[in-house]
Amino acid sequence: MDGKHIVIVGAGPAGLAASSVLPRLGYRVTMIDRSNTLGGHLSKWYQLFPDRAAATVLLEQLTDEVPDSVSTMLGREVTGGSVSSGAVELTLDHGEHLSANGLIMATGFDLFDARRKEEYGYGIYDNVFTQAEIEEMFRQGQIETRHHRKPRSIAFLHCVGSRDLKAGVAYCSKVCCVTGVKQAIELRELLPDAAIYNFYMDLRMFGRGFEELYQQAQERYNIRFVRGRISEAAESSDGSVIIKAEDTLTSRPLKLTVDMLVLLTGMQPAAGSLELAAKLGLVLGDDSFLKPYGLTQQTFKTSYPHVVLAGSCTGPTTLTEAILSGRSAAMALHESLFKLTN
Amino acid sequence: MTFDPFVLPFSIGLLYLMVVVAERFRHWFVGLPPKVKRTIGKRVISSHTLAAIWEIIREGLFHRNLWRRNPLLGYMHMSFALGWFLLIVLGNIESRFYSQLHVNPPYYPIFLKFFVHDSHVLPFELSTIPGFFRFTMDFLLLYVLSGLMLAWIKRTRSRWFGMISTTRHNAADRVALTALWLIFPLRLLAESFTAGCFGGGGFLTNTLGAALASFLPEEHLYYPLWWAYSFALGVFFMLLPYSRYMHILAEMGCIMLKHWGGSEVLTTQSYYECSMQACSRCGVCLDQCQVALAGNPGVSPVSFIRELRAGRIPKEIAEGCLMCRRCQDVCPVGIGLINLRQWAREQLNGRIPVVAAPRYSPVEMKAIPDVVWFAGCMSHLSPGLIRSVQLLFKQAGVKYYWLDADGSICCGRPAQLTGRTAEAEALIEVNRQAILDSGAKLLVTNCPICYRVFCDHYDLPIEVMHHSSYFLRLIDQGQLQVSRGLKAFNLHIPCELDRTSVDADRMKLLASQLVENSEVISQSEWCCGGSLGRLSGQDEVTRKISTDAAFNTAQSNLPVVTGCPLCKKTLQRYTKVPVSDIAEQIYLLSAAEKVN
Amino acid sequence: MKSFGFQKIVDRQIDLDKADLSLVQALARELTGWQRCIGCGSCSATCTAAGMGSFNPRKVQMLVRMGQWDQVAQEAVHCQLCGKCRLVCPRDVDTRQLMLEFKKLQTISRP
Ligand SMILES: Cc1cc2nc3c(=O)[nH]c(=O)nc-3n(C[C@H](O)[C@H](O)[C@H](O)COP(=O)(O)OP(=O)(O)OC[C@H]3O[C@@H](n4cnc5c(N)ncnc54)[C@H](O)[C@@H]3O)c2cc1C
Ligand code: SF4
Ligand code: SF4
Ligand code: SF4
Ligand code: SF4
Ligand code: SF4
Repeated sequence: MDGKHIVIVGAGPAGLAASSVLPRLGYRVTMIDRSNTLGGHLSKWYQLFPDRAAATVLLEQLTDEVPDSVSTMLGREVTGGSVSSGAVELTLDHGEHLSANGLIMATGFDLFDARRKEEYGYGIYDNVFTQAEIEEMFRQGQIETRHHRKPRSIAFLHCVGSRDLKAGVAYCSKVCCVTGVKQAIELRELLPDAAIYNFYMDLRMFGRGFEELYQQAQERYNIRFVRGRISEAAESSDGSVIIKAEDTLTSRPLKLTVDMLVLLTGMQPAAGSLELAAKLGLVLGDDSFLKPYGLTQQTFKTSYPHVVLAGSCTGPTTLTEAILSGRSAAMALHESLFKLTN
Repeated sequence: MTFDPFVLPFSIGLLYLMVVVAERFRHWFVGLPPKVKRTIGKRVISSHTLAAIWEIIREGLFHRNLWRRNPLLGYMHMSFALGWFLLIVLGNIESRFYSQLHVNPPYYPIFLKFFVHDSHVLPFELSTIPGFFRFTMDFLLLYVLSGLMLAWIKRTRSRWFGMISTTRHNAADRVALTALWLIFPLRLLAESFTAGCFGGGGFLTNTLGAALASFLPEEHLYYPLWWAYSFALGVFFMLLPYSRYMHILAEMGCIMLKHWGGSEVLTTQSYYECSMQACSRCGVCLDQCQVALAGNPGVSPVSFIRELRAGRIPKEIAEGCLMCRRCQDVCPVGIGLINLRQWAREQLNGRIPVVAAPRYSPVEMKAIPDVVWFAGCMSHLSPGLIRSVQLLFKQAGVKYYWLDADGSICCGRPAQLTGRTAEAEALIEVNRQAILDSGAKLLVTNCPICYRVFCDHYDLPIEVMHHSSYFLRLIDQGQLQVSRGLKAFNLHIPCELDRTSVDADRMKLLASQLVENSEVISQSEWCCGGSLGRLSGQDEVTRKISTDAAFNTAQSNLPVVTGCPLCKKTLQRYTKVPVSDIAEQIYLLSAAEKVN
Repeated sequence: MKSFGFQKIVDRQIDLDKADLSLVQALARELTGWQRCIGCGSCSATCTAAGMGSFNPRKVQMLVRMGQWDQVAQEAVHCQLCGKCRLVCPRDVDTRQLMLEFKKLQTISRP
């Protein structure tokens, strides 16, 4: 589509996938991301579920497919703009303006701020972590407590900031269950003697290979699954964390001291996306994620024909879904623009 | 002439009223526990009586508290009460001037202008005794009528009175109200027409009588008007004990009971019955009640008390209240609304049997601590608070024993709030013993809910403090050094700390010592809505209460500082601004001090 | 008559065919929110009374659904009404309110 300009906000997996499609269809593409690296959250992960593929490899594949003609603006945030018929105007953080014929929103997600669940002591106790910090430790190849000791016991807590009306979040974040299982297995490989627990309410192993991973975790990796949500945590004098839960399957209260407590925090709409959506006139769902036209069909479409949504800005997704939706959104936009001009 | 049949309705009504009211007061007195009766016996002839009379004059006649709340309402109530009262007193004196009898029949001063037409006295003749009375009586009548005008306006335009909503009435109330509203206009007309026919009357009645005489057949009208006036009075008196106007007498009863019976009388059945009659239905509580503001006006005391008077205790009304004390803080009659609601809940929930409370297993203690610390169950969900308190104790060198380090038995206050007093007693007994066994001379708690019951119901021989008061003391004594580092914030006073208490004052003082000199603290006296007082009600209303509270507390998007783990958790859920406990702020400021 | 045949002894079985679910329906009319419980165990983990005995508010709620009212009534008396459970429930259930209602079951006689 000769020379029409499309802007992609967000260079995570969804944005990257979209940007690999559009130049080949004849569009001029600009991709903007507020971080200084490509790949969004993918760039922070170590191994991917379910097959433990290296995140770096996937990231490389995704970036390799982006044609050189795409102009990428890193370290730049889209802060505002407006949508009119056939045109999009965007404002960047330094006050610059960009105009385009089409827009792909691929602003992704942020992790829930674990400090908001104060009872678990994140940010207060030394040895409470999030799963993102654990990924970082894997990347560094070094798992240790804040006191630089090898942990002898570790507990994962599922659903932190997901499925929690007290935190204002009703939805399930979808990927944290399998991430928790994957990380437990990775920990076992590094720490053959440690006691590793997963405290869960439900285990949502929906994807291909997920349930199998769970089985392996039980059988081969000796991960102990406890069905009960941790209600509170305290710190003992040596810096270990004392947790209270109920083992709901035996109906008995449970107390456990662990060297590390890992919170599997949920996904939230990216910071600033609420404000940005309001300025662009995009609709949000009750969950504050961007709301597409339909939840089964037309999951990329908005009320504007030349604005489409991709990836986890519409709700929790796996990489698989983010990448697929990036490509599909690009095609959907192409279709719309084609219809508009012909 | 000293009698005419038209005085009969008035006289019968008055007699009836006196019998019924005497019976009510007798019933309340008989119902009091013997101990309270003895206290009353001792105090009847003492300064307590003078204090009671003074309060009756202040509140019953002048309505000082109501004036403070709402001057327009204050004026309205005062013009009725004081105006009518003076009319009766002066009327009596005036009648003595004319009658030769030592004891006048009660109707005589009321209908004096029918019996006596002193046409020698001129309307503006102020220097003679009859002239003075003439003038003053007319003036008082005018004064009462001005209040009547306001009452009438309030019925139709409550917003002019600064009130969002006005109260609603039952049938007895409406008839009594109509009678009451008719009394003074009828008196005005009866006296004016009489003056028009026979002369006499003051500046008002004389002038009006003369003016109307030119086109009205006053000589035929004046006598039926006296009948109507007497009839209105009679109806009003007959209905008074069954209408909201009983409050006039019941308020006096409450005041006397309070002064004579001391604090013990406040939780007796008689006092509850008397105080529910004492509500004047002024409606001041209505705009104060957050449940009412969130769309459930039935919960407010004025509606709740109406139900109680009708002998009903609807569950959703008795249990929907937050027990936040905001209404009690403003009720001009000073009704113990929280106790009253608790009593109603006891009727609903209190009768179910209670099981024995669990026991603590004793632990070996190395030394007797200075402080026994009871964090409270909710505090355990706020590690930031617990951590700060521990570190502050350490920094101040306080030797403490943490009673509920590993959890505890509930303090009993929440059970009390549900009306399960006996259950609360069982819990209180166990905790009380544990506190005493620690040997400490001071009990410190982080939870205002625990604090309330420790103070009011534990009967502890040792001092009890909320942590805000305790840290203020440690700072005053130089045991803790804090810098004035805080920027402007919103100080939220927890309900159970009691906003009218010295504890609340101390918390404000403490806050003022934490801010940089020019920074402001705005105060929030909103209940967070998470209160354990609210036992039932729709989720949407509960959420609206908290949403409103958080909005009104987090003024100008500045951080909120509170002193209750439950408030903290609740407000955190409903606002994006940071919410913390005052102990956490003290710790941050004291730690900053250490670094320097 | 001669006894004949064999039958399992099923004292502990929840017999939903025979359970009295009318109270569940009554409860649904009276109170809201409790149906949301997913049995996560947060309330029972944090519960003041559970820390001191065999009381388990989560289990009580599960028994309600199964119409096991006698057991519910027996258990609920141990709740201390502290309200701590209200702060932790991810489904915003007011467990304390339920326990207060269930305490009253003691006095209700059922057929
Ligand atoms: C701990 C964890 C582990 C995971 N592991 C796996 C896994 O193993 N396998 C798997 O399939 N999935 C995994 N996922 C899910 C995966 O991370 C997401 O599906 C994927 O990152 C979504 O991609 P995205 O492009 O939609 O969003 P993101 O990755 O969040 O990228 C969005 C990008 O948009 C940028 N942005 C946002 N707003 C603006 C703006 N206003 N202006 C400019 N730029 C902006 C952001 O900086 C970001 O770079 C994991 C998720 C988590 C939380
Ligand atoms: S995926 Fe699992 S851990 Fe994550 S929110 Fe859903 S149930 Fe909870
Ligand atoms: S309870 Fe008090 S404030 Fe409320 S209407 Fe009655 S007298 Fe007025
Ligand atoms: S205590 Fe609070 S919630 Fe209850 S009636 Fe008074 S103002 Fe309303
Ligand atoms: S915390 Fe809530 S959801 Fe979890 S078991 Fe208790 S009532 Fe159910
Ligand atoms: S209110 Fe009852 S069920 Fe809830 S935590 Fe307290 S004791 Fe347990």
